[in-house]
Amino acid sequence: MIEFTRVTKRYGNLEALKDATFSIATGEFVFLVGPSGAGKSTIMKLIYREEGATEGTVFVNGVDVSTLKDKQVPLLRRHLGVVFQDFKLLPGHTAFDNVAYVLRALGTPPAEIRRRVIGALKVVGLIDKVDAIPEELSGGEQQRVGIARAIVNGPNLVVADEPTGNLDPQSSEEVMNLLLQINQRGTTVLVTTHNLNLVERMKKRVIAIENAQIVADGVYQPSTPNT
Amino acid sequence: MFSINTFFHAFAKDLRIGQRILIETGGGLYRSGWMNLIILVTMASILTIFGSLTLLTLDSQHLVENWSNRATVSVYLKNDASLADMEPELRRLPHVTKSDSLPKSEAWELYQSNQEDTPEIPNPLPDTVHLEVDSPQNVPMLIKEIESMSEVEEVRYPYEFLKQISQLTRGISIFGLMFTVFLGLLTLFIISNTLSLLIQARRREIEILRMMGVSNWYIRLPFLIQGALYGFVGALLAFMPVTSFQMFVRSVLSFFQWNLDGQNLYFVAGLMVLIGVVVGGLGATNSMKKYLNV
Repeated sequence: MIEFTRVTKRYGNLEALKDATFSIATGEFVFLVGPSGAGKSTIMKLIYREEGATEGTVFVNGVDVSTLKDKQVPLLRRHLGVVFQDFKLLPGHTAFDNVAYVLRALGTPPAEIRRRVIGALKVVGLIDKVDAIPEELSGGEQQRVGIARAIVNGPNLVVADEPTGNLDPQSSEEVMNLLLQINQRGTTVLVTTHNLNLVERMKKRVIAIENAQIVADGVYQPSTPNT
Repeated sequence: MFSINTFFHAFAKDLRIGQRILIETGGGLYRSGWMNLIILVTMASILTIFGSLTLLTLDSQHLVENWSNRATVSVYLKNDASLADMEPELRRLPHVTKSDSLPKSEAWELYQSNQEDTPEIPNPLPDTVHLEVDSPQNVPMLIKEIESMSEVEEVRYPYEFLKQISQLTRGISIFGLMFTVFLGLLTLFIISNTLSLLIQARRREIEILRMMGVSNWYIRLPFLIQGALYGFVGALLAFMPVTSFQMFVRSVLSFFQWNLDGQNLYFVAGLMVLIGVVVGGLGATNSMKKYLNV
Protein backbone atom coordinates (compact mmCIF):
# COMPACT_ATOMS: atom_id res chain seq x y z
CA MET A 1 0.00 0.00 0.00
CA ILE A 2 2.71 2.49 1.05
CA GLU A 3 6.39 1.93 0.41
CA PHE A 4 9.17 4.39 1.25
CA THR A 5 12.61 3.43 -0.03
CA ARG A 6 15.58 5.50 1.17
CA VAL A 7 13.53 8.68 1.08
CA THR A 8 15.17 11.99 1.88
CA LYS A 9 13.41 15.35 1.82
CA ARG A 10 15.36 18.58 2.01
CA TYR A 11 14.10 22.16 2.18
CA GLY A 12 17.22 24.07 1.18
CA ASN A 13 19.84 23.01 3.71
CA LEU A 14 17.27 21.68 6.17
CA GLU A 15 16.76 17.92 6.18
CA ALA A 16 13.12 17.20 7.06
CA LEU A 17 13.41 13.45 6.41
CA LYS A 18 16.57 11.42 6.14
CA ASP A 19 16.96 8.07 4.41
CA ALA A 20 13.55 6.72 5.51
CA THR A 21 12.65 3.18 4.51
CA PHE A 22 9.42 1.46 5.60
CA SER A 23 6.35 -0.13 4.12
CA ILE A 24 2.72 -0.37 5.19
CA ALA A 25 0.65 -3.29 3.91
CA THR A 26 -2.97 -3.08 2.77
CA GLY A 27 -5.35 -3.23 5.72
CA GLU A 28 -2.77 -2.21 8.35
CA PHE A 29 -3.35 0.34 11.11
CA VAL A 30 -0.17 2.29 11.79
CA PHE A 31 0.71 5.12 14.16
CA LEU A 32 3.39 7.62 13.25
CA VAL A 33 4.72 9.18 16.44
CA GLY A 34 7.43 11.66 17.29
CA PRO A 35 8.00 15.16 18.64
CA SER A 36 6.95 18.28 16.74
CA GLY A 37 9.21 18.99 13.78
CA ALA A 38 10.53 15.41 13.73
CA GLY A 39 9.28 14.75 10.18
CA LYS A 40 5.79 13.23 10.66
CA SER A 41 4.03 15.85 8.56
CA THR A 42 6.71 15.52 5.88
CA ILE A 43 5.91 11.81 5.57
CA MET A 44 2.20 12.62 5.28
CA LYS A 45 2.86 15.30 2.65
CA LEU A 46 5.01 12.88 0.66
CA ILE A 47 2.18 10.31 0.73
CA TYR A 48 -0.51 12.62 -0.60
CA ARG A 49 2.04 14.30 -2.87
CA GLU A 50 1.86 17.74 -1.39
CA GLU A 51 5.65 17.52 -1.59
CA GLY A 52 8.00 15.47 -3.75
CA ALA A 53 10.93 13.47 -2.38
CA THR A 54 14.43 14.90 -2.87
CA GLU A 55 15.88 11.39 -3.01
CA GLY A 56 14.39 7.89 -2.99
CA THR A 57 11.01 6.55 -4.06
CA VAL A 58 7.54 6.75 -2.53
CA PHE A 59 4.97 4.20 -3.73
CA VAL A 60 1.31 4.65 -2.83
CA ASN A 61 -1.27 2.20 -4.21
CA GLY A 62 1.43 0.83 -6.48
CA VAL A 63 2.19 4.21 -8.04
CA ASP A 64 5.51 6.01 -7.67
CA VAL A 65 4.14 9.32 -6.44
CA SER A 66 7.56 10.98 -6.40
CA THR A 67 7.54 10.97 -10.21
CA LEU A 68 3.83 11.71 -10.56
CA LYS A 69 2.95 14.62 -12.83
CA ASP A 70 0.97 17.47 -11.24
CA LYS A 71 -2.02 16.64 -13.44
CA GLN A 72 -2.16 13.10 -12.05
CA VAL A 73 -2.09 14.14 -8.38
CA PRO A 74 -5.90 14.59 -8.09
CA LEU A 75 -6.36 11.00 -9.34
CA LEU A 76 -4.05 9.73 -6.56
CA ARG A 77 -5.89 11.75 -3.94
CA ARG A 78 -9.31 10.39 -4.95
CA HIS A 79 -8.21 7.07 -3.46
CA LEU A 80 -7.05 8.70 -0.23
CA GLY A 81 -9.03 10.11 2.66
CA VAL A 82 -7.39 12.89 4.65
CA VAL A 83 -8.36 13.80 8.22
CA PHE A 84 -7.07 17.11 9.61
CA GLN A 85 -6.23 18.16 13.14
CA ASP A 86 -8.37 21.33 12.85
CA PHE A 87 -11.24 19.43 11.13
CA LYS A 88 -11.40 21.95 8.24
CA LEU A 89 -15.18 22.01 8.10
CA LEU A 90 -16.99 24.72 6.18
CA PRO A 91 -18.66 27.03 8.71
CA GLY A 92 -22.37 27.58 8.22
CA HIS A 93 -22.71 24.40 6.12
CA THR A 94 -24.59 21.42 7.56
CA ALA A 95 -22.82 18.14 8.34
CA PHE A 96 -24.49 16.72 5.23
CA ASP A 97 -23.22 19.55 3.02
CA ASN A 98 -19.72 19.33 4.48
CA VAL A 99 -19.51 15.64 3.62
CA ALA A 100 -21.24 16.10 0.25
CA TYR A 101 -19.11 19.09 -0.77
CA VAL A 102 -16.36 17.17 -2.55
CA LEU A 103 -18.75 14.61 -4.09
CA ARG A 104 -20.65 17.47 -5.73
CA ALA A 105 -17.40 18.88 -7.09
CA LEU A 106 -16.61 15.47 -8.56
CA GLY A 107 -19.94 15.39 -10.42
CA THR A 108 -21.51 12.55 -8.43
CA PRO A 109 -25.27 12.16 -9.14
CA PRO A 110 -27.50 13.63 -6.35
CA ALA A 111 -29.11 10.30 -5.42
CA GLU A 112 -25.66 8.71 -5.13
CA ILE A 113 -24.45 11.64 -3.01
CA ARG A 114 -27.37 11.20 -0.63
CA ARG A 115 -26.77 7.47 -0.33
CA ARG A 116 -23.03 7.84 0.29
CA VAL A 117 -23.24 10.81 2.69
CA ILE A 118 -25.93 9.19 4.80
CA GLY A 119 -23.87 5.97 4.81
CA ALA A 120 -20.70 7.82 5.94
CA LEU A 121 -22.57 9.76 8.63
CA LYS A 122 -24.03 6.45 9.88
CA VAL A 123 -20.53 4.97 10.13
CA VAL A 124 -19.36 7.89 12.29
CA GLY A 125 -22.56 7.81 14.38
CA LEU A 126 -23.88 11.23 13.40
CA ILE A 127 -27.00 10.30 11.48
CA ASP A 128 -29.07 12.38 13.92
CA LYS A 129 -26.87 15.45 13.25
CA VAL A 130 -27.25 15.55 9.47
CA ASP A 131 -28.61 19.12 9.51
CA ALA A 132 -26.37 20.47 12.26
CA ILE A 133 -23.80 23.10 11.34
CA PRO A 134 -20.24 22.83 12.78
CA GLU A 135 -20.94 25.64 15.24
CA GLU A 136 -23.64 23.43 16.82
CA LEU A 137 -21.36 20.38 17.15
CA SER A 138 -18.78 19.45 19.82
CA GLY A 139 -15.12 19.10 18.85
CA GLY A 140 -15.40 15.32 18.75
CA GLU A 141 -18.50 15.51 16.58
CA GLN A 142 -16.82 17.94 14.23
CA GLN A 143 -13.89 15.57 13.84
CA ARG A 144 -16.33 12.74 13.13
CA VAL A 145 -17.83 14.83 10.33
CA GLY A 146 -14.25 15.28 9.08
CA ILE A 147 -13.78 11.49 9.13
CA ALA A 148 -17.11 10.97 7.33
CA ARG A 149 -15.87 13.35 4.63
CA ALA A 150 -12.58 11.42 4.38
CA ILE A 151 -14.32 8.05 3.87
CA VAL A 152 -17.28 9.14 1.76
CA ASN A 153 -15.39 8.53 -1.47
CA GLY A 154 -14.56 4.95 -0.43
CA PRO A 155 -10.77 5.39 -0.16
CA ASN A 156 -8.49 2.42 0.42
CA LEU A 157 -6.14 4.55 2.54
CA VAL A 158 -7.01 7.08 5.25
CA VAL A 159 -4.29 9.39 6.54
CA ALA A 160 -5.06 11.34 9.70
CA ASP A 161 -2.70 14.11 10.79
CA GLU A 162 -3.04 14.56 14.58
CA PRO A 163 -6.80 13.85 14.47
CA THR A 164 -7.11 14.05 18.26
CA GLY A 165 -4.82 17.05 18.70
CA ASN A 166 -7.70 19.44 19.45
CA LEU A 167 -9.91 17.00 21.39
CA ASP A 168 -10.55 16.07 25.03
CA PRO A 169 -9.57 12.54 26.16
CA GLN A 170 -13.04 11.06 25.77
CA SER A 171 -13.55 12.46 22.27
CA SER A 172 -10.01 11.36 21.36
CA GLU A 173 -10.83 7.81 22.38
CA GLU A 174 -14.05 7.90 20.33
CA VAL A 175 -12.25 9.19 17.27
CA MET A 176 -9.50 6.55 17.56
CA ASN A 177 -12.11 3.81 17.94
CA LEU A 178 -13.84 5.13 14.87
CA LEU A 179 -10.61 5.00 12.87
CA LEU A 180 -10.05 1.47 14.12
CA GLN A 181 -13.57 0.54 13.03
CA ILE A 182 -12.86 1.96 9.56
CA ASN A 183 -9.64 -0.05 9.48
CA GLN A 184 -11.55 -3.21 10.36
CA ARG A 185 -13.64 -2.71 7.22
CA GLY A 186 -10.45 -3.15 5.22
CA THR A 187 -9.19 0.42 4.85
CA THR A 188 -5.50 1.07 5.55
CA VAL A 189 -5.15 3.76 8.23
CA LEU A 190 -2.10 5.88 9.04
CA VAL A 191 -2.37 8.21 12.04
CA THR A 192 0.13 10.72 13.40
CA THR A 193 -0.30 11.52 17.06
CA HIS A 194 1.29 12.81 20.25
CA ASN A 195 -1.16 10.91 22.43
CA LEU A 196 0.91 7.97 23.65
CA ASN A 197 -1.79 6.77 26.05
CA LEU A 198 -4.05 6.09 23.11
CA VAL A 199 -1.22 4.49 21.14
CA GLU A 200 -0.45 2.19 24.04
CA ARG A 201 -4.07 1.11 24.44
CA MET A 202 -4.57 0.38 20.75
CA LYS A 203 -1.67 -2.10 20.54
CA LYS A 204 -1.01 -1.35 16.89
CA ARG A 205 2.14 -0.93 14.86
CA VAL A 206 4.05 2.27 15.62
CA ILE A 207 6.67 4.02 13.48
CA ALA A 208 8.66 6.43 15.63
CA ILE A 209 10.50 9.32 14.06
CA GLU A 210 12.97 11.68 15.64
CA ASN A 211 15.28 14.29 14.13
CA ALA A 212 14.10 13.40 10.63
CA GLN A 213 15.03 9.74 11.05
CA ILE A 214 13.00 6.62 11.75
CA VAL A 215 14.16 5.37 15.14
CA ALA A 216 11.71 2.57 15.89
CA ASP A 217 9.17 0.41 14.06
CA GLY A 218 6.99 -2.17 15.84
CA VAL A 219 4.17 -2.58 18.32
CA TYR A 220 4.40 0.16 20.96
CA GLN A 221 5.97 -0.72 24.30
CA PRO A 222 5.85 1.78 27.18
CA SER A 223 9.62 1.34 27.55
CA THR A 224 10.30 2.42 23.95
CA PRO A 225 12.47 5.52 24.39
CA ASN A 226 11.32 8.91 23.13
CA THR A 227 8.06 7.73 21.63
CA MET B 1 -16.47 -0.90 -24.49
CA PHE B 2 -17.69 2.54 -25.46
CA SER B 3 -21.44 2.80 -25.59
CA ILE B 4 -24.09 5.52 -25.76
CA ASN B 5 -24.80 4.82 -22.12
CA THR B 6 -21.19 5.51 -21.14
CA PHE B 7 -21.23 8.67 -23.20
CA PHE B 8 -24.49 9.80 -21.60
CA HIS B 9 -23.16 9.20 -18.08
CA ALA B 10 -19.91 11.02 -18.81
CA PHE B 11 -21.84 13.91 -20.35
CA ALA B 12 -24.27 14.09 -17.43
CA LYS B 13 -21.32 14.09 -15.02
CA ASP B 14 -19.58 16.93 -16.93
CA LEU B 15 -22.87 18.82 -16.91
CA ARG B 16 -23.15 18.46 -13.13
CA ILE B 17 -19.54 19.61 -12.69
CA GLY B 18 -20.22 22.56 -15.02
CA GLN B 19 -23.28 23.45 -12.99
CA ARG B 20 -21.24 23.35 -9.75
CA ILE B 21 -18.56 25.55 -11.33
CA LEU B 22 -21.23 28.11 -12.24
CA ILE B 23 -22.65 27.95 -8.71
CA GLU B 24 -19.15 28.56 -7.32
CA THR B 25 -18.74 31.47 -9.76
CA GLY B 26 -22.07 32.94 -8.62
CA GLY B 27 -20.95 32.58 -5.01
CA GLY B 28 -17.72 34.39 -5.86
CA LEU B 29 -19.60 37.26 -7.49
CA TYR B 30 -21.93 37.49 -4.49
CA ARG B 31 -18.99 37.60 -2.09
CA SER B 32 -17.21 40.27 -4.14
CA GLY B 33 -20.12 42.65 -3.37
CA TRP B 34 -19.59 46.27 -4.30
CA MET B 35 -16.18 45.50 -5.79
CA ASN B 36 -18.12 44.11 -8.78
CA LEU B 37 -19.47 47.60 -9.44
CA ILE B 38 -16.05 49.26 -9.20
CA ILE B 39 -14.51 46.71 -11.55
CA LEU B 40 -17.36 46.99 -14.07
CA VAL B 41 -17.22 50.79 -14.10
CA THR B 42 -13.44 50.85 -14.66
CA MET B 43 -13.65 48.07 -17.22
CA ALA B 44 -16.48 49.81 -19.11
CA SER B 45 -14.56 53.09 -18.99
CA ILE B 46 -11.37 51.72 -20.50
CA LEU B 47 -13.33 49.86 -23.15
CA THR B 48 -15.32 53.00 -23.98
CA ILE B 49 -12.12 55.00 -24.44
CA PHE B 50 -10.50 52.18 -26.37
CA GLY B 51 -13.55 51.54 -28.56
CA SER B 52 -14.16 55.22 -29.34
CA LEU B 53 -10.54 55.91 -30.26
CA THR B 54 -10.28 52.80 -32.39
CA LEU B 55 -13.46 53.75 -34.22
CA LEU B 56 -12.19 57.30 -34.74
CA THR B 57 -8.94 56.00 -36.20
CA LEU B 58 -10.67 53.45 -38.41
CA ASP B 59 -13.28 55.93 -39.64
CA SER B 60 -10.73 58.58 -40.51
CA GLN B 61 -8.58 56.01 -42.32
CA HIS B 62 -11.65 54.75 -44.12
CA LEU B 63 -12.49 58.28 -45.15
CA VAL B 64 -8.99 58.91 -46.49
CA GLU B 65 -9.11 55.65 -48.44
CA ASN B 66 -12.47 56.61 -49.91
CA TRP B 67 -11.10 59.94 -51.06
CA SER B 68 -7.78 58.69 -52.28
CA ASN B 69 -9.45 57.39 -55.44
CA ARG B 70 -11.37 60.57 -55.99
CA ALA B 71 -8.98 63.21 -57.21
CA THR B 72 -11.31 66.20 -56.99
CA VAL B 73 -9.91 69.71 -56.73
CA SER B 74 -11.95 72.79 -55.82
CA VAL B 75 -10.85 76.08 -57.35
CA TYR B 76 -12.14 79.33 -55.78
CA LEU B 77 -12.01 82.35 -58.09
CA LYS B 78 -11.25 85.94 -57.24
CA ASN B 79 -14.18 88.37 -57.06
CA ASP B 80 -13.35 90.09 -60.33
CA ALA B 81 -12.71 86.88 -62.30
CA SER B 82 -15.24 85.62 -64.80
CA LEU B 83 -16.57 82.12 -64.19
CA ALA B 84 -17.69 81.80 -67.80
CA ASP B 85 -14.11 82.43 -69.00
CA MET B 86 -12.32 80.48 -66.33
CA GLU B 87 -14.25 77.21 -66.41
CA PRO B 88 -13.32 76.32 -70.03
CA GLU B 89 -9.75 77.42 -69.37
CA LEU B 90 -9.46 75.18 -66.33
CA ARG B 91 -11.22 72.36 -68.17
CA ARG B 92 -8.55 72.48 -70.89
CA LEU B 93 -5.69 71.96 -68.45
CA PRO B 94 -3.83 68.64 -68.81
CA HIS B 95 -5.18 65.67 -66.75
CA VAL B 96 -8.54 67.36 -66.04
CA THR B 97 -11.30 64.97 -67.05
CA LYS B 98 -14.38 66.85 -65.94
CA SER B 99 -15.40 70.24 -64.62
CA ASP B 100 -18.41 71.50 -62.75
CA SER B 101 -19.01 75.13 -61.84
CA LEU B 102 -20.89 76.58 -58.90
CA PRO B 103 -21.59 80.32 -59.32
CA LYS B 104 -21.36 82.35 -56.16
CA SER B 105 -25.02 83.36 -56.38
CA GLU B 106 -26.08 79.69 -56.36
CA ALA B 107 -23.69 78.89 -53.52
CA TRP B 108 -25.12 81.78 -51.48
CA GLU B 109 -28.69 80.64 -52.12
CA LEU B 110 -27.72 77.15 -51.07
CA TYR B 111 -26.11 78.48 -47.92
CA GLN B 112 -29.11 80.67 -47.09
CA SER B 113 -31.54 77.81 -47.60
CA ASN B 114 -29.57 75.75 -45.06
CA GLN B 115 -29.43 78.53 -42.45
CA GLU B 116 -32.34 79.91 -40.49
CA ASP B 117 -31.07 83.43 -39.93
CA THR B 118 -28.67 84.82 -42.46
CA PRO B 119 -27.55 88.39 -41.93
CA GLU B 120 -28.30 91.01 -44.56
CA ILE B 121 -24.80 91.25 -45.98
CA PRO B 122 -23.39 91.11 -49.52
CA ASN B 123 -22.62 87.62 -50.82
CA PRO B 124 -19.17 86.73 -49.40
CA LEU B 125 -18.79 83.45 -51.29
CA PRO B 126 -16.56 83.06 -54.38
CA ASP B 127 -17.35 81.41 -57.72
CA THR B 128 -16.16 77.81 -57.58
CA VAL B 129 -15.04 75.29 -60.20
CA HIS B 130 -14.77 71.61 -59.17
CA LEU B 131 -12.30 69.70 -61.32
CA GLU B 132 -11.91 65.96 -61.58
CA VAL B 133 -8.36 64.81 -62.29
CA ASP B 134 -7.43 61.54 -64.00
CA SER B 135 -5.16 60.40 -61.15
CA PRO B 136 -4.31 61.63 -57.59
CA GLN B 137 -0.61 61.58 -58.62
CA ASN B 138 -1.19 64.43 -61.07
CA VAL B 139 -2.98 66.62 -58.52
CA PRO B 140 0.05 68.41 -56.94
CA MET B 141 1.40 69.48 -60.34
CA LEU B 142 -2.04 70.68 -61.41
CA ILE B 143 -2.56 72.62 -58.18
CA LYS B 144 0.73 74.43 -58.77
CA GLU B 145 -0.33 75.41 -62.26
CA ILE B 146 -3.77 76.63 -61.14
CA GLU B 147 -2.35 78.57 -58.19
CA SER B 148 -0.14 80.53 -60.60
CA MET B 149 -3.23 81.93 -62.37
CA SER B 150 -4.00 85.49 -61.36
CA GLU B 151 -7.78 84.94 -61.35
CA VAL B 152 -7.56 82.18 -58.76
CA GLU B 153 -8.01 82.96 -55.03
CA GLU B 154 -7.45 79.50 -53.59
CA VAL B 155 -7.22 75.83 -54.56
CA ARG B 156 -8.44 73.14 -52.19
CA TYR B 157 -7.80 69.46 -52.36
CA PRO B 158 -10.00 67.62 -49.78
CA TYR B 159 -7.81 64.52 -49.82
CA GLU B 160 -4.84 66.48 -48.41
CA PHE B 161 -7.06 67.96 -45.75
CA LEU B 162 -8.44 64.54 -44.83
CA LYS B 163 -4.93 63.12 -44.69
CA GLN B 164 -4.00 65.80 -42.17
CA ILE B 165 -7.14 65.06 -40.13
CA SER B 166 -6.29 61.39 -40.25
CA GLN B 167 -2.76 62.06 -38.99
CA LEU B 168 -4.19 64.16 -36.19
CA THR B 169 -6.69 61.47 -35.14
CA ARG B 170 -3.93 58.89 -35.31
CA GLY B 171 -1.83 61.01 -32.96
CA ILE B 172 -4.74 61.43 -30.56
CA SER B 173 -5.44 57.72 -30.76
CA ILE B 174 -1.86 56.68 -30.00
CA PHE B 175 -1.87 58.91 -26.92
CA GLY B 176 -5.34 57.66 -26.00
CA LEU B 177 -4.40 54.02 -26.46
CA MET B 178 -1.37 54.51 -24.21
CA PHE B 179 -3.74 55.92 -21.62
CA THR B 180 -6.01 52.92 -22.18
CA VAL B 181 -3.09 50.54 -21.60
CA PHE B 182 -2.40 52.30 -18.30
CA LEU B 183 -6.07 52.07 -17.28
CA GLY B 184 -6.13 48.46 -18.47
CA LEU B 185 -3.25 47.62 -16.13
CA LEU B 186 -5.08 49.38 -13.32
CA THR B 187 -8.22 47.32 -14.01
CA LEU B 188 -6.13 44.16 -14.15
CA PHE B 189 -4.67 45.07 -10.77
CA ILE B 190 -8.12 45.69 -9.22
CA ILE B 191 -9.48 42.39 -10.59
CA SER B 192 -6.40 40.53 -9.41
CA ASN B 193 -6.70 42.01 -5.90
CA THR B 194 -10.43 41.30 -5.65
CA LEU B 195 -9.97 37.70 -6.71
CA SER B 196 -6.97 37.31 -4.41
CA LEU B 197 -9.16 38.31 -1.46
CA LEU B 198 -11.77 35.85 -2.68
CA ILE B 199 -9.20 33.05 -2.91
CA GLN B 200 -8.05 33.80 0.61
CA ALA B 201 -11.65 33.76 1.86
CA ARG B 202 -12.16 30.36 0.17
CA ARG B 203 -8.83 28.98 1.37
CA ARG B 204 -10.38 26.22 3.47
CA GLU B 205 -12.73 25.06 0.71
CA ILE B 206 -9.87 25.04 -1.79
CA GLU B 207 -7.66 23.02 0.55
CA ILE B 208 -10.42 20.45 1.08
CA LEU B 209 -11.07 20.20 -2.67
CA ARG B 210 -7.36 19.75 -3.38
CA MET B 211 -6.89 17.11 -0.70
CA MET B 212 -9.89 15.11 -1.89
CA GLY B 213 -8.65 14.95 -5.46
CA VAL B 214 -10.83 17.53 -7.19
CA SER B 215 -9.16 18.65 -10.40
CA ASN B 216 -7.24 21.92 -10.49
CA TRP B 217 -9.51 23.19 -13.25
CA TYR B 218 -12.57 22.87 -11.05
CA ILE B 219 -10.81 25.04 -8.48
CA ARG B 220 -9.47 27.59 -10.97
CA LEU B 221 -12.37 27.97 -13.40
CA PRO B 222 -14.77 29.92 -11.15
CA PHE B 223 -12.11 32.62 -10.69
CA LEU B 224 -11.25 32.63 -14.38
CA ILE B 225 -14.92 32.85 -15.39
CA GLN B 226 -15.50 35.66 -12.91
CA GLY B 227 -12.57 37.63 -14.36
CA ALA B 228 -13.67 37.01 -17.94
CA LEU B 229 -17.26 37.92 -17.03
CA TYR B 230 -16.09 41.34 -15.82
CA GLY B 231 -14.55 41.88 -19.25
CA PHE B 232 -17.61 40.66 -21.15
CA VAL B 233 -20.15 42.69 -19.16
CA GLY B 234 -17.80 45.69 -19.20
CA ALA B 235 -17.71 45.47 -23.01
CA LEU B 236 -21.51 45.27 -23.19
CA LEU B 237 -21.80 48.33 -20.96
CA ALA B 238 -19.25 50.21 -23.06
CA PHE B 239 -21.06 49.37 -26.30
CA MET B 240 -23.73 52.04 -25.81
CA PRO B 241 -21.45 55.06 -25.30
CA VAL B 242 -19.19 53.84 -28.13
CA THR B 243 -22.18 53.58 -30.49
CA SER B 244 -23.30 57.09 -29.49
CA PHE B 245 -19.79 58.38 -30.10
CA GLN B 246 -19.72 56.87 -33.58
CA MET B 247 -23.13 58.30 -34.39
CA PHE B 248 -21.87 61.72 -33.31
CA VAL B 249 -18.69 61.42 -35.43
CA ARG B 250 -20.65 60.28 -38.46
CA SER B 251 -23.20 63.08 -38.08
CA VAL B 252 -20.31 65.56 -38.08
CA LEU B 253 -18.83 63.89 -41.16
CA SER B 254 -22.15 63.83 -42.97
CA PHE B 255 -22.46 67.58 -42.39
CA PHE B 256 -19.38 67.86 -44.62
CA GLN B 257 -20.95 65.42 -47.09
CA TRP B 258 -18.51 62.71 -46.04
CA ASN B 259 -20.58 59.61 -45.58
CA LEU B 260 -19.31 56.30 -44.25
CA ASP B 261 -21.15 53.03 -44.30
CA GLY B 262 -18.41 50.69 -43.01
CA GLN B 263 -18.94 47.88 -40.53
CA ASN B 264 -16.26 49.24 -38.19
CA LEU B 265 -18.62 49.26 -35.21
CA TYR B 266 -19.09 45.48 -35.21
CA PHE B 267 -15.38 44.90 -35.61
CA VAL B 268 -14.61 47.25 -32.72
CA ALA B 269 -17.37 45.71 -30.56
CA GLY B 270 -15.79 42.29 -31.09
CA LEU B 271 -12.38 43.72 -30.24
CA MET B 272 -13.78 45.29 -27.06
CA VAL B 273 -15.23 41.97 -25.90
CA LEU B 274 -11.95 40.22 -26.69
CA ILE B 275 -9.83 42.77 -24.84
CA GLY B 276 -12.22 42.87 -21.88
CA VAL B 277 -12.19 39.10 -21.54
CA VAL B 278 -8.39 38.95 -21.91
CA VAL B 279 -7.82 41.69 -19.28
CA GLY B 280 -10.29 40.01 -16.90
CA GLY B 281 -8.79 36.58 -17.52
CA LEU B 282 -5.25 37.90 -16.98
CA GLY B 283 -6.32 39.53 -13.71
CA ALA B 284 -7.72 36.19 -12.56
CA THR B 285 -4.62 34.28 -13.71
CA ASN B 286 -2.40 36.72 -11.85
CA SER B 287 -4.29 36.23 -8.58
CA MET B 288 -4.26 32.45 -9.03
CA LYS B 289 -0.52 32.46 -9.66
CA LYS B 290 0.04 34.38 -6.46
CA TYR B 291 -2.38 32.68 -4.11
CA LEU B 292 -3.56 29.43 -5.65
CA ASN B 293 -0.70 27.02 -5.59
CA VAL B 294 -2.49 24.07 -7.19
